[in-house]
Amino acid sequence: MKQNILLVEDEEDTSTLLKSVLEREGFSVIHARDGRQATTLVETIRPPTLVLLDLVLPYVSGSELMKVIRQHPGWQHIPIIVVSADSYEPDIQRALLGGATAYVMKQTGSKVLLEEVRRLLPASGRTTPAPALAGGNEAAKAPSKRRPAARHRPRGSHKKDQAA
Amino acid sequence: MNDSISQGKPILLLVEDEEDTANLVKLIMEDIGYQVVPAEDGREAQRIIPLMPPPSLVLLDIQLPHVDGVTVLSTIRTTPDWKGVPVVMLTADSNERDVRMALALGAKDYILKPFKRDALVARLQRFLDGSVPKQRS
Amino acid sequence: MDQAQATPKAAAGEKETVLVDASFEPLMPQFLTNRKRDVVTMRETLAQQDFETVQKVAHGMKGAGGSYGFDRITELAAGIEQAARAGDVSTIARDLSTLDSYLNRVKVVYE
Repeated sequence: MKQNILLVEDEEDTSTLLKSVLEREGFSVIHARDGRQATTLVETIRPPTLVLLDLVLPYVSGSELMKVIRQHPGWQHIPIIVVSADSYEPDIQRALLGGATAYVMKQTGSKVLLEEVRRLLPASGRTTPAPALAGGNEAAKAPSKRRPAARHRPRGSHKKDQAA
Repeated sequence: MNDSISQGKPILLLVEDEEDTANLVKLIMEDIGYQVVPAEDGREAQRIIPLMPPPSLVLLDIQLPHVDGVTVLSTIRTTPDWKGVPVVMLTADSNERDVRMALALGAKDYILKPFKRDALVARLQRFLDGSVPKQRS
Repeated sequence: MDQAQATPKAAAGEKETVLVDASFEPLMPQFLTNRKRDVVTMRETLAQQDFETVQKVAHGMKGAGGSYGFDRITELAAGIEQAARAGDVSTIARDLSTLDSYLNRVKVVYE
C-alpha cells in the first residue's frame, strides 16, 4: 500500500520536481498549492504518512498551518518536514520549536530531502514513533549544538527511529 | 475540533483544471456554506478520493489532463460508500460524446461552461437533499 | 491605448464596460492577469505552429470568461478555439489582437 505524502508548496517548479522525485520513490503525493487548500485537506482527508511544508505560502503561513496540523486529531504525530529557501537560523529554530520534525533548505536539493523523508518514515510494520518534538513542547530542549550543514533536525532524534 | 463535518458543512469535491473556473466555483459554493475540496486533475482526484469521506456532491470537469473526467467518474462509481454521491459533470461542449457516456455511467447532470452563478447554484442544489446550506445573504 | 468610455459604444462593436457580480471582486485581478498571460501564451505557441496548445488555452478561456461576466471573452475564445482546430493562423492572429485590445480597454463595474 502506497504511503501518502501531503506536499504543501505554492511554487510550480518546486512542486513539480518534488512530486516527480517522491512519486518515483513510490509515494502517492497529495498536493496543496496554498495554506487554505492545505487547511481544507487537513480537515477532510485521512492523515498522510508525512507532510512536506513550505513555510512561505499564500493565505495561510506555513507556521500557522503547522499549528493547525499539530492540533488536528490524528495528525499530531505525523512527521513534518519544513522545506524552505530561508536559511536564517532563528527562523529555522522557530520552525522546529513550532512543531516541525525536520527542516530542509531548498538549495540543498531533492536528494537530501529524500534522505530526510526516508529517515523519518517508519519501517513497514512498525507504528509511527512520536518524534521528540511532539506537540512542540519538548523542542524547548533543542540544544546549542548545531550542524553547519543544510540539514536541521531536533537534537535527540538520532536516538529514535531509523528509517527503513 | 476543527472538523468541518462536525460543523455540519456539506463537502463538495471539485475536479477542475482551469484555475479561474475552479476559484470561481469555490467562491460561489463556499459563499453558500460548502466546504470545497479542490482537485486539479483526474490523477489528483483519484488520490484524494480514497482518503476522504464521501462528499455531498461532486462537480467533475469532463476534459482533464492525465486522467479524464469519465475515468474519475468510474473511480467514484466503484468506490465503496461513494455510490450514492451525486456527480454533476462540467463541460464547455454540450455535444460531447463524453457527456452522454458520463450520464450513462451515472452522472446526474451536466453544467455547461460558461455558467451564471445563479444557474450553477440552482442546478447543484437540486441534488442536495437535506444537506441544504445556508442561503446566500 | 484608448480610454475606457462610460458609455459602452465603442469602435468595432466592442463593449468596454462589463458588469460583474460584486462578490467576484477578490478574484478579478488574477482573472484578468491570467487572461493577459493566456494571450501571450497563445501568441507564442501560434508562432511555433502549436495549434494544440492554442486550442487548449482558448478552450479554458471560453469556459471561464462568461462565468466571470465577460461574455466577449468567451466569444473571442470560442472563435480562436475553432480557428485553432482548423489551423487558421490569420484568424487566430486577428482574434488575438482583438482580445488583447479588449483586455486592455475593458472596465469592470461591480453590481
